[in-house]
Amino acid sequence: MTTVAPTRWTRPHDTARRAGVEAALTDLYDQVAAGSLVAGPAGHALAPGVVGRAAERVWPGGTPLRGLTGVATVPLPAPVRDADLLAVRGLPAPQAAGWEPYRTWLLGLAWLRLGVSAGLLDRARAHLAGRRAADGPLLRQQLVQATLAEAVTDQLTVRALLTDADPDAGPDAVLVQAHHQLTTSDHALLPVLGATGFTEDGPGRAVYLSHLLADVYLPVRHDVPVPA
Amino acid sequence: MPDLDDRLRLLRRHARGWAAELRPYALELDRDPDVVLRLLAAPAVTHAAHLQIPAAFNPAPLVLAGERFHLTAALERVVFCEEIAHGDLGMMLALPGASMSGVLVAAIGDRAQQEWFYGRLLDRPTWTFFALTEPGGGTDAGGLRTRATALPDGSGWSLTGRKRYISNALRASVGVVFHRTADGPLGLAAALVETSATGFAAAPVPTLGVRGAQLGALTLDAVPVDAGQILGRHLSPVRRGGWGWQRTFNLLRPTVAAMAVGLAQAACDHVREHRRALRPDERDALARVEGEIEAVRRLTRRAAVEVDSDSGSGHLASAAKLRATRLAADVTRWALRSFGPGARLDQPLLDKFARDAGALEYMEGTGNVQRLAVAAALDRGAFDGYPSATVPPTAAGV
Repeated sequence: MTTVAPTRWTRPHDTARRAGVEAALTDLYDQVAAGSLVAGPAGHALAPGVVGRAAERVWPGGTPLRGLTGVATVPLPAPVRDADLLAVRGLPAPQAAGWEPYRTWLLGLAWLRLGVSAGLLDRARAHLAGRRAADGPLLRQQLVQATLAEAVTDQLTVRALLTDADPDAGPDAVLVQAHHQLTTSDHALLPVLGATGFTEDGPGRAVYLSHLLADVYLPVRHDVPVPA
Repeated sequence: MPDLDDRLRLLRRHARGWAAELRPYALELDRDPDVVLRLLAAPAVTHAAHLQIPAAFNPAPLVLAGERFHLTAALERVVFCEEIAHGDLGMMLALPGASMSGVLVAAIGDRAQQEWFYGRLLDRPTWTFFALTEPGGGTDAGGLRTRATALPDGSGWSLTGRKRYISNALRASVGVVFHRTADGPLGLAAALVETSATGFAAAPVPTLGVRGAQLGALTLDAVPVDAGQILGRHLSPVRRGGWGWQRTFNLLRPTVAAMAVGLAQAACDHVREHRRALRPDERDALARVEGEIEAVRRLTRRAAVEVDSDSGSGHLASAAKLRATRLAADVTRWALRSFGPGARLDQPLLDKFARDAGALEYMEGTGNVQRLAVAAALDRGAFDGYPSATVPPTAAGV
């Protein structure tokens, strides 16, 4: 499998597509915020377990974790409670100066999440190829084909945006919109997998984790500073 | 008849109170499906366990202010299920009682089968299963592969096959297994099966949402079935097969839509309760969401009235299920967004609601199944005010 992700984001994208969210998130942390917990706009963090337990600082900003008050781990939602992830709240959120590096995190996270979405499409196509309805293969039904076409078009749109995105420029709102487009697109695509996509250990798990990451790290649009 | 009469308002008011008692256990049930076993004395659980039983078989229906309720009519079920799902959809689907199997038994069971099945339910809190879906085949009844093979001595059949995504599979003691006795539409049948039967096994299939329903996979390995267990043995093969099943599904579909409406209303109410200082644009959004919920609620009630009047008329129920499923998904996600970043961690109930909404897509026919049903109904002129399609001949056909 090849990807057109810029070299820097190839690993989180491809790992997310093939191996799962936890491993891809480890790659992303290694690249952007090694040794730290990445705090979202409301002071939450979601990190691979090993990374999170070893973290000493908060990224961006570099505030030492030791001595911070009000920081608490949060139980993971029931279907992913066994995931090797650490959820935290009460961290200092990125302040004005922190938004510049935070844009890089959002960009890398978008590539990771695009990998999850591409993996979902891979799984959906493989699933449908082996399924038949009364009138032929499910993969050839127009309603199903329309859903797949919409999904790949959404992903190509986001990919085009991210490929050309310069981490040092460009409106953040566009990047946030790309994340939202991935979320919406996943929700539209998942049903073609049938209930297989709803099981705790099926393809819906990675999608749920992707949406959990978006929930923690996406600023609400009006919080995004307009670039000078 | 979108507005409820006094009798149904009475039912709604009581059901709302019973549902509120279940809400505190919603997240606990999400983590541990056995929590429902501790709630057998709760009114919602007790009533669900003893309702949806036809008057002829239920000497002790629900009585409220002198009014008797059996919950055998779709409109009554819609009112009751919306409110219980408003308390918690996971709990709604974890309740003991006749549930979906009860509707099928009422539709095509003979008197002895009905007496036996409903008698079991009245005896003690009893969970039932409704085993239609198969791995690889979805809910397509025509594609059923579970098969009953006649025993050589003529004493009955041997039932073999696999089922998947069956609610309450592990806690049920009796239910119906959809299968075929022969190829073709006349070979479809449904049998009453006890989970204690030889060759019957159930294993959990943990899910992302409605985890309280404890979905499971069933394996049937030469389960013995006698003639008395074949539902509708007194009916023609068509009536006890596809024809009877379609009517049952039509009766059930508004109930699924009502659960979606209840879930959407629960998410909306959570926003109203926990986000008191709304900006003007957020107040607008809330008002719009409430309008959307009310519209789908009314469509759902109309669908229930229609199937109560003619159980063969399920097209409005398809429209209601299609729209209600999208409503629940949209409203639960909107509710999460309204709390800003980290809402899934800070508002675990809303996170659960959004996960639960995902289940509705797979209950009683997927979105695409409903879209095709609605399109077919539009084509044949089934919707009031919309004439049947007149397709002009193509050039090739002239």
